[in-house]
Amino acid sequence: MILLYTFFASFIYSFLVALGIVLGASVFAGIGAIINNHPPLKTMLDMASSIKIWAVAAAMGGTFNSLEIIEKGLFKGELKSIIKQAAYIVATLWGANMGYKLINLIKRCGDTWLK
Amino acid sequence: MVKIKNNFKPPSCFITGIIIGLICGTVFFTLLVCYRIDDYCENIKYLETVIEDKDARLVQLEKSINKNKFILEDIEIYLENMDQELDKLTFKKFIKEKYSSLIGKEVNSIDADMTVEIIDDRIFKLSNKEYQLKVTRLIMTNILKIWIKVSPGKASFDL
Repeated sequence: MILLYTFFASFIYSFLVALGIVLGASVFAGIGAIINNHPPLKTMLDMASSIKIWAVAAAMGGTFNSLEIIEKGLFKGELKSIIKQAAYIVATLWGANMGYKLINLIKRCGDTWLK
Repeated sequence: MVKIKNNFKPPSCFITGIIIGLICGTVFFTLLVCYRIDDYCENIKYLETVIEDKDARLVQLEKSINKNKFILEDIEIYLENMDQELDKLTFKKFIKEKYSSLIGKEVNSIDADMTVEIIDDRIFKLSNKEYQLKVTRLIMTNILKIWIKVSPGKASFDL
């Protein structure tokens, strides 16, 4: 029970950290774009799409950690840890993609409201 | 008895609040205006390309024009009795539109009296006020220069 609880806690952490990285980076890039006289929404979208993969890596706590665990799982037969890591990777990918989708939502809302 | 240490420091709390407020406000307004700014940027880019295209065409047209003919190239409008720049621009735009058909014509073929009549004694409405235009001077070379007196108030006659 405790193990399951820890797993879900890590799952939520991974998801939210990835989401936060993408959202934070994009929004602050948007502020920077306004200061630099560049189009903010375009900058935000570019930043969100380019930072997605880094958000996944950062949310996993560095790429090598999880790869190491997967390697151990593969060669020592620990299937449980492989599934766990795969779930964390899915959570981070999901979070990062949701961050990108949320930034994209601003564009869609703008299209709907202003036109 | 253990004395409870008071860690509350008003100035640092105040500064933290201000910084957090600034960040939240900036983020909020960035999200609010980013789409509009992008829209303006797109418009500016589009207009810049249109201007570049038109400039290139203009250069080609100017090259192809016969230089021996005396052709009206531009119109300059001088407004008298006007203080506000924004109103001036509106008037100039309106008057230039009236004379735009003359550009490109040979100067000899343009009748000066008719040119004056186009705008003379006209009544122009701007933000619920009426202005009467009166041409005071006109010089026609390859550039048409017109001095126009703008007098506010209702005109003494009806059109």
